[in-house]
Amino acid sequence: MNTKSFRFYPYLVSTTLVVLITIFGEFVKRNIEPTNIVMFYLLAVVISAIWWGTGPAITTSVLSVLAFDFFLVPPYLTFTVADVQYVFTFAALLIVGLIISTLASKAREHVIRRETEKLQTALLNSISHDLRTPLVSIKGALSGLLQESSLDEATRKEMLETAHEDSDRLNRIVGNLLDMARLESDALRVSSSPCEVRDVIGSSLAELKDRLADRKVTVTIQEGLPHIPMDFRLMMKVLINLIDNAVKYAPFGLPIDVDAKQIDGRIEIKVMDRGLGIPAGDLEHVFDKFYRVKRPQNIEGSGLGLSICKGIIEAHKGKIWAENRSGGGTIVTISLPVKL
Amino acid sequence: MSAQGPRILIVDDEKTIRRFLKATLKSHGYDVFEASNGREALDQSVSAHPDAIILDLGLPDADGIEITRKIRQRVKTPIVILSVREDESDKIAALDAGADDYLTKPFSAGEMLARLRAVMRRLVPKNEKTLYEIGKLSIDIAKHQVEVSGKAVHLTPTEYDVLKVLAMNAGKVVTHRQILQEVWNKTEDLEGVSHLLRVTISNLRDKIEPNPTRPAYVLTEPGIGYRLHSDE
Repeated sequence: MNTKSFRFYPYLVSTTLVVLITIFGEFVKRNIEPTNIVMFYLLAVVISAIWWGTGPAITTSVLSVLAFDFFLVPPYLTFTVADVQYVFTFAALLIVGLIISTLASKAREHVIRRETEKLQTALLNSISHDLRTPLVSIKGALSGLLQESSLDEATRKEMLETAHEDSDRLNRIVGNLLDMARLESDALRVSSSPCEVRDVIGSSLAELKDRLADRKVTVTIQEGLPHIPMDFRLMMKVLINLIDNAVKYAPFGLPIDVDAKQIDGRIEIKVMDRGLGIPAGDLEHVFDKFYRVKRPQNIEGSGLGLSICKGIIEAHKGKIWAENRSGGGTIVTISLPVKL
Repeated sequence: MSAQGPRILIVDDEKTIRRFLKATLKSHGYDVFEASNGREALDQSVSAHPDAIILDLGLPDADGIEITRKIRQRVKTPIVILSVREDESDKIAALDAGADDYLTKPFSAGEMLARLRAVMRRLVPKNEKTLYEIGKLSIDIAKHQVEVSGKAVHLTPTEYDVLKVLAMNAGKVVTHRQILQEVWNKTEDLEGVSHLLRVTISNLRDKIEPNPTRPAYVLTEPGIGYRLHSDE
C-alpha cells in the first residue's frame, strides 16, 4: 500500500503546484500581463521534472496550459480564446515544458545510474574483500599443512582449526549474500506458523554452539509466552546474526544475555552484550545496507547482517532497533506482534 | 583385499566431494562405491549391494527426489541425502519419498559418520528393542515407562506417543508429517494440527529436559522435524 500511494504522490504535488499558481494568477491577473504568469507555470514544470521525472513534468505542463487557458486568459472560465496570440503562448508553454521535462529527467537518470554504479562497485569491493579474507587463511593453512612436513602437532592443530573456523565464516558470508539477494528481489518467502519463542532461541544457540564455546550465555524467557506466528528458519537467521554480532563485538569471552517477554500485544526479544557499544550517531544507521560503524579495531564484517535482520523482521510486521546498554554494550530488540 | 566393512554408495556429481567422502569413509573401515549421476546411482544401488547410500539431491541429469523414490522402490537400503541449507522443501520431499536422513552442506566428517551409523542401526531388526537409554533419559516401551535420572516422569498419552516415535528412530530425523501421521493419525490438513505437535514438544521438553531452553534430548531440526539425540 505504501509504494502505491508513493507512486501517486508526485502527481498530487504537481497538481497542487498548478492549483496554487492558478490561485495566485487569479489575484494578479488584472494587474499584470497573463503571459508573465506562464513563467511560474514553467517553474512548476522544471521542479516536477527534476524531482520526479518525465511523467509528472508532462502532467504539470498539460495541466498548466488548461488552467492558464480556463482561468487566466480572457474570456475567463471558458476554454475559448479571444486573442490569437495566446494560442502561441499555449504552444510555447507546452513545448518548453516537454523539452525541459525530457532534459531534466535525462539528467536525473544519469545521476541515478551513476549512484547505482557507485553502489555496485562498493558492493563488489566489499564482497570480494569479505570472501577473500577467509579464503586466504584457509588456503594458507592448507598449503602449509601440505608442504611443511616438519610442523609440530600444536601448529598443525592450530592451522587446521583456523581453516575450519574460516570455512564456517565463509559459509556465513555466502548465506548472508544469498539472503540479501532474496530480500532484494522479493524472493524471500515467509511461511508463518505459530512457533515457540523458546524453541527458536534454543535452536539458534545450538547452531552457534562452536562460536559460543567460551561464552556465558544467559537466557531469560518469561513463563507462559504464547506461540507466535513466524517463519521459524528466518527468525533463526535473525537471532543467529544478532548473537553472532554480540560475539564479534564483545570480545574476550564477555557474557551475552538473551531475554524474551510479552509487552501488551507484542513479544520482545532482546540480545544484549557487554561489548564496544554503538556510537549514538550510528544507532539508527546500523540497519542500513553495507553500513559499518567505523572503529579503530579491525573487525571483519560486510554490513549485511543487520539489514537482512531488518528485512526479515519487517516481513513479519515487526520492528527491530538498537540501543546502548547502561554499563556498556549493545542491546538489539526485536518486537513481534503476537497475532499477525 | 578390501576390508569387509559396511558398503557405502556415494552419489555426487562433484568429484572433490566424492573424494572427501571416500577418504573419510575408507579411513573408518567402510567399503566405498561411487556414482556420479542418477542412472549410475540406480544401477549401483542394486548391483553393488550397498548397506547405505549417500545421495546428493542436486544431480545434473536427474531429479534427486525422483531418484530417491526409484531406489526405494527397488531396495530397502538406508539413504542419507545431501542438500544445501535453503532447500527445506526438497529435503522434506526426499524424506517423504523414502530417504532416511539428510546432511546440510557444508557438513563435517563427524556429522556424516554419525548419520550413517544412525541410519544403519535401523537395519538391525528393531522389534526386539524396547529400552532406549540416552544420557539420563530412559524410555521403556514394554513397560510404557519414562524415567529421568531414575525418577519416573508422568507424560500424557500424546506426549508419550511422540517420544516413542522419536525413540524408535533415535539419532535420526523424524519429519513433522511422520509424527503427525503416527501420533495423530493425520495425513491431510497437517497445517491445522502441526500447532498441536509444537505444543506437545514444548510440554515434553518441560518434563524431560534438564534445561528446556537448550534441549539435550529432543532436538529441533528447523523446518523439517525433530530428532532424539543419540549417544552412539
